[in-house]
Amino acid sequence: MSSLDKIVGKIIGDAKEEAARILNEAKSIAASMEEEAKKKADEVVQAEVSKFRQAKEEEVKRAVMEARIKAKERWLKEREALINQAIDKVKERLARLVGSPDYAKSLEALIEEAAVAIGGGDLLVQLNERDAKLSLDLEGIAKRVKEKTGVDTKIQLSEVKVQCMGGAVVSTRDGSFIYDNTLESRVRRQESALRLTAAKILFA
Amino acid sequence: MVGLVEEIRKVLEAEEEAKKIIESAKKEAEEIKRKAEGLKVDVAKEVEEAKKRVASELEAKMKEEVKAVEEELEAKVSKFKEAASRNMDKAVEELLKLVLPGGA
Repeated sequence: MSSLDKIVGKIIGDAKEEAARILNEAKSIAASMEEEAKKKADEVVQAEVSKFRQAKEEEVKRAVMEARIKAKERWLKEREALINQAIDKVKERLARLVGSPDYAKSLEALIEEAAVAIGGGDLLVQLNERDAKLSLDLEGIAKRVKEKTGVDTKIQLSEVKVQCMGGAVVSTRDGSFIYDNTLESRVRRQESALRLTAAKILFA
Repeated sequence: MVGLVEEIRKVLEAEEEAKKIIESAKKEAEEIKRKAEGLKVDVAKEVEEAKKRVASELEAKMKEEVKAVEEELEAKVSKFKEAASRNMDKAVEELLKLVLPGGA
């Protein structure tokens, strides 16, 4: 190889080396730029997704909360249905009771309770058509009312009939005091206590 | 003399060639940088895909939690229905005592 060829070879060789250096540098810069772009994009994606996740998690919480509320509602509904079932059974029992031989005693107790609540005196008792035909010891009741209230008491069956399952409406003769002790009224008056008691026993 | 001129010409040609090589490399380098500058990550697409993943994950979580609530309710309802069925007669007796003076 002549010295001229060596010089030419050196010139071309140096140029190729410089070209390679330029390209490597460019590739390195490009790689950094690419990395930076990806990093920035990733930050944007993360921020967007984080916001989205937060909103979506709120949705999940709401959905679960709604499910809990619905579950609670259904639970209460089922609970109410069972309590109503118990009260309906009580009404059925009462309906059977008014046809039983023991009922007269219960009716007398209902009349006595009403008469005592009024405070005794000259009292009228209203019954339904069926109960009016029962043989009741009204005098005995009057005696017991006097013992309890200290007031002379007279109890008389009224000609007026009440529409009810059973029980009695007791009033003073002048109508100034009335005590509705029909079975329906008793159930109605004690509904809260009945429901509470039913719940306590049923779900024990 | 002719030989010397010829040698100088060859050196000049080599320098010219070297210049072209470097110029070409510079152009290519510029092209590489331009492409890198022009690189745009499709953020919208990535966000969309990530959202789909998150939505699917949370949807599954929600279904699981709602199912758990429903199962808990069913167990509770079944338990108190059983209790109510067991205690119904006793409850009716107690309620009758409240309705009737002295009980039924």
